[in-house]
Amino acid sequence: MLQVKGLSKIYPGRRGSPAVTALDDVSFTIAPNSAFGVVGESGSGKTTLTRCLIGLEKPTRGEMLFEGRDIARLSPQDMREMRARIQIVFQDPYASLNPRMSAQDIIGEPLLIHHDRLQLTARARTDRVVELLERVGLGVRHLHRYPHEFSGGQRQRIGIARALAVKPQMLILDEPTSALDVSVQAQILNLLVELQDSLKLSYLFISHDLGVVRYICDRALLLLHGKMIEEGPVDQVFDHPQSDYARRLIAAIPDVDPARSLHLTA
Amino acid sequence: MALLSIENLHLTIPSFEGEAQILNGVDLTLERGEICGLVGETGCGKSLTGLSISKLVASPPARYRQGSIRFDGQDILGLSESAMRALRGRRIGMIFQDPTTNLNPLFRIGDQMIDVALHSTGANRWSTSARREARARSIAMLERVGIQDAHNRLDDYPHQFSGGMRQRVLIAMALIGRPDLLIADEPTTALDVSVQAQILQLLFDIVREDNIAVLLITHNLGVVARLCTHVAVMYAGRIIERGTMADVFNRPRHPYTKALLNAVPTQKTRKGTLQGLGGSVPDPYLPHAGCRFAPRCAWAEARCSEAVPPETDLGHGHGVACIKAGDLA
Repeated sequence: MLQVKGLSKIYPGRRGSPAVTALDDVSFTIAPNSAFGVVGESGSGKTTLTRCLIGLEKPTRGEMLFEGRDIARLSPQDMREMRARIQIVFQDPYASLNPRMSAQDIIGEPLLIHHDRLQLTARARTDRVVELLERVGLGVRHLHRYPHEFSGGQRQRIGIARALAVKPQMLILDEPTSALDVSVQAQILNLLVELQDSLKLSYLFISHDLGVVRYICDRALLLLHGKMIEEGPVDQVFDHPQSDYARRLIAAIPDVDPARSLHLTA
Repeated sequence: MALLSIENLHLTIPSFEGEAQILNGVDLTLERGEICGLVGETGCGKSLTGLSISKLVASPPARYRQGSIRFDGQDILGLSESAMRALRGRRIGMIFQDPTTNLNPLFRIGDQMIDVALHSTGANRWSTSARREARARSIAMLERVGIQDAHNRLDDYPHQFSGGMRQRVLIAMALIGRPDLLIADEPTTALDVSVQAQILQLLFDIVREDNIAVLLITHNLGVVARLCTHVAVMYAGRIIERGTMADVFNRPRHPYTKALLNAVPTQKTRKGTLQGLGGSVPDPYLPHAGCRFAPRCAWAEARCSEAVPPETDLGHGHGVACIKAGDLA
């Protein structure tokens, strides 16, 4: 589905300061209907990677083939069409919804933007929004509510519904649960698993939560300063990491296991 | 006598929608050497419990309707603001979540630390010798929290520090008065995991060396499992399960604690089998009777909604506020 080959992004330094290599020769493949995790700490290049994939940055080198066509070399018209096939769900459901727009406007906006292709009447758009609300576990009663009337988990459901509006084949999920309580996180993760199954979606899932990546993803990539440190099936990456950095990072992640408590092991 | 003991604390805050019942009878004790994790979902009252201990909830408008907070024998709620100022920063230290907003970007790290250091000893701010001594203590404390080249870094501004380093500076500030109690409200939420692991280790070492008590407010159960000796699980302004970390995490008895622990995906969780917790936290404006978790509880019965369940002691300080705790082993 998506094939990234030798992707590099170098930001030129400001006067006098050296250039910053945000991504350095990154390659991976996402199979159709699979979930691919990208793990890394701040500054590892996760965000640059997503910005390249949705066309907000031009990569310095390398290609990103989505069904055989390079995303970086699309004409503006083709890029618009591509954006309907790759959609994104953002980390912070409080910041990524416009507080002045109702749920209907928020979820319906992509339908308007892609109107020339979708050709939906106003009536059909409303029907589609209601269908999407129900798809993500909300309902017609939420149509005219504004973001402040929703809880964090409900807002993230709206963000997911908005991303699904134009029937994409791939979702980029940028830490979609890190701003949520664990109880709500579990609901959203289950929703994502269910949606992937029923809509045959591919996911690019960005997270620093090992448990979440392992739960959702089939394969994972670990980045450090823009370089690939590990790539492979999740079990292999997390249970048998090859590099010292990966072992240290995995050991640093606090899991809900009293056996690894500092005071019990001290 | 416990270092900190909160008894039956009730807090209400008036607003346009009515009277929000934030705390509904919080009981909590903390001894030196203990690291108690206070966990629960957003809006359950964890942070306001922490703020109440250092009397940082403006009252009025907030009202403490019942209950008491005793710190080393003193009744916190009865103390004057000047008496509280003598406790804060000297005997009670606090660390907050976001290390970027808790340092003033316009002042050097050293100036901000020396201010706190001078306050902690009550020294004259204008005395050169007191400032020199406070500067030396600041350098020693920064070195202790793992900031290298501390005597030069003291002249740097906050933007010259990374997030983890800023959080270390804030921990150093909270500890410079050698407090007996440290209240840490989500101290690692904004940090990367490897930095988080270092900060948790640092807090753990400080507790062992100085024998202080820590109240760690968090919603990250992994952090609690890694660092805490004790856990208190809070729901709708009340502690519904408490005990040693190992007891509560290995043998949770309250349906809410079980649900929270089940909601975290682990190595063994199969795809599609994660158990979420339906519903949401109850509206603090609505009057209520009985167990507040009952509407979301899989084991709830009619009698659950009749009276607030009393806490049952299961031994070794493992307490559960659920009338069915005996059946749910």
